[in-house]
Amino acid sequence: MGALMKMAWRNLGRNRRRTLITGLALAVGVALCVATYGLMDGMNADILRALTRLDLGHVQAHHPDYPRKKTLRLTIDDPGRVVKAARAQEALAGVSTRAYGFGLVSHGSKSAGVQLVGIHPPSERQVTEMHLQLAQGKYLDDAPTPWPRGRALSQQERARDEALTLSAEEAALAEIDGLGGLEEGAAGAGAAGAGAQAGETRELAGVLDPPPARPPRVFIGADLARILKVKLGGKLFVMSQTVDGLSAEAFLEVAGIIKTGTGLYDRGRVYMHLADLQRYLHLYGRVHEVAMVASSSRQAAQLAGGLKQAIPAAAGEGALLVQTWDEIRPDIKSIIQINEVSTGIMVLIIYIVAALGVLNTMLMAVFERTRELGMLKAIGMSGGRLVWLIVAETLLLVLGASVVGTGIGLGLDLYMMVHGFDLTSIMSEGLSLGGVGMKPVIHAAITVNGIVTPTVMLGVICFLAALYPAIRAARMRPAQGMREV
Amino acid sequence: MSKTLINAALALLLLLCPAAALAGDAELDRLVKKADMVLRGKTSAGVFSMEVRTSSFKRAFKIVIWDSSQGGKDRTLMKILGPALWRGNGTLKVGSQLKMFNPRSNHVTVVGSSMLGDSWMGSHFTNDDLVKETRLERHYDKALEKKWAGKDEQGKAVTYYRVRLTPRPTAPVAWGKIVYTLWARDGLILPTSAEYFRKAKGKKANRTLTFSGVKELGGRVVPSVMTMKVARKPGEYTTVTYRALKFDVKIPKSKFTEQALRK
Repeated sequence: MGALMKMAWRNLGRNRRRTLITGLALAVGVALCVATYGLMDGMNADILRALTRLDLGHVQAHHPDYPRKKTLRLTIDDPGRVVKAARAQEALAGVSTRAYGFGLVSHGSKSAGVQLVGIHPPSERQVTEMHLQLAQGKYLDDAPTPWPRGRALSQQERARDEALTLSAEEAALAEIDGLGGLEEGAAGAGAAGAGAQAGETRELAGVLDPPPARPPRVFIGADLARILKVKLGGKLFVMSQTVDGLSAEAFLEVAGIIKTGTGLYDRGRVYMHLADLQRYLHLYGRVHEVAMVASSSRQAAQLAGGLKQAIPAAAGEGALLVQTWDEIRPDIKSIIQINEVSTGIMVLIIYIVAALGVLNTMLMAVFERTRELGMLKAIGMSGGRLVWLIVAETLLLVLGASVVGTGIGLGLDLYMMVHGFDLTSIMSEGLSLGGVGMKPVIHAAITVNGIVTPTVMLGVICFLAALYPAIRAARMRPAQGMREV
Repeated sequence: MSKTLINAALALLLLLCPAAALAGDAELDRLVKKADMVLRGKTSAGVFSMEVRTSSFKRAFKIVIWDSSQGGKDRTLMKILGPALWRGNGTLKVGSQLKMFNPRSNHVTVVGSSMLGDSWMGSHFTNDDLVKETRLERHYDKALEKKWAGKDEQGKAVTYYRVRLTPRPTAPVAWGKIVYTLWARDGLILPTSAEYFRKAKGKKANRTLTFSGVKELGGRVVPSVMTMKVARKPGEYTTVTYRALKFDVKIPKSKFTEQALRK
């Protein structure tokens, strides 16, 4: 075998220019493919990151009906149990609990319907990277806003309230009675005593549902801030319905503004402290979602599996729906898979072109050396060994080209990792894939797969391309070959 | 042949005739308009209680309402009189604009179109119900489905009409069909129910408003109780019961301003 390799190496050196040109073509092909893979891996990682590290996490647990209905009352009533079960999982890197609600926020004459998101800042920082997306201001404080719970009215207070209602009713009736007909002159009576009632009403309402010590701090997206024309430190007014069907209103202070590039977060959400939202919507300790991240995205299924075992999945009290990110967003999973397949197809096309070059080179090499190969057979070299000789020549060429090509490809990858592949000229705002925002600058990622796949693919394709000239050489009859000019 | 027999035969003939032939379009228009307008005047003012019953809570409000359709615009001001948590809350509607005031935060919110489908004060009425100035007689085409002799709440003989209302193309309505039932007796025409269908060919009503408690209020005989039920929330309802109601009273224009809303 050693002699064969030596011969193959020497043969490559016999027409250096041809070897170099073919090798260079292969090397450029490898370099491009490695770079393409790097870019594709980087893009997929970006998509996955934008999805999982801005919002979803890798695994989520909900009330079984919540993902479908998104109703306020479909909560996880004992989030502590879920968090404890999650912490027991080896694959876990972070876990956070969240609550959601809907509200109409307004600022001046501008208003918008938004999703209110209650997060627990210290644990959310371990799950999502929202705190890194701040364009202005700051993230939420770890401590919630002091906001006492209300209590039911005492018997005496209730009697007082009923008396107030009655007198308001009497006043209204008197006012209506005092109104003249349409044809008569103007009426006199106003709402007497309304001012005196207001103070007492405020007192009673304060017992039932006391206001917060100060407006709870929130952060919102840059687009929402623009729509509402609100700046840092501005006060938003929010109206919602609590879980027990009361209407709830509050002022919120804008403490931070984020810019993620994804409309869902930049335009549609108001983030506040979990405890503040729970208090505001009367959820008291209940959450809608437990989001978890695994040490790596590959461990998502393992984490979900472990959690499912720890928490009863069957219907009944305390049952939960545990899903991995790709179960929650199969569309994004498909986009990633399509990216991978289309990159594979492109690499295959590049290599088929490269393989035709190899086929041509090796055929030429065989034709040129017909006499020589005939001689080799005449002095006793078997057909099989002749095949190996030609294949070895090809593989040496491919190996050399792969080393050089991978080197160049990694160089390109490295450049695109640091500086990114800038698509700003095509799409300045970035693009949104199924609601997941992509920045206009794609950063490459270097993975083992991104290097091994293109080189192995090249090896296999070139091996196949070399077989035809090799077999042709092996089938040659020695006498005929030696007679060729 | 005696006269009574002829009358009976005529009555029978009448019953067997196709329903549509019984009441002309103009007659149907008149009936529906009268029934629809029974709780409305050029202006009206009243006090009612609203009881909201859902699967998770039960609540009762006392509310004063001022209403005027003078000057080409529908204007309504409602203020909650009690209990404490809501006292002073107000809703002002001028034309198609809806504003809500909360005295605790001293804030007026303009209800945008995104909130129109939401429930008003947690009841089974929506903000949209308050804003929409639909007149059944103006916005719907009518077809008589059935006419029959029956009795009213007090057991008096009345004639019932069930009318299918389909919105005209230009009508600002979200319903595909309304089945409206009313009765008539001695010039008195009162609604008994309105079934709202999301789709024109719907089999089951999405929500039903029933009228009852017929009595004299403000010089008119009106149904003083209205109950709204929503099909997909069985067991839940909102009932409005009028305690006082006065029609065609002079309401100062200042009643329908933001100042009055805040007062």
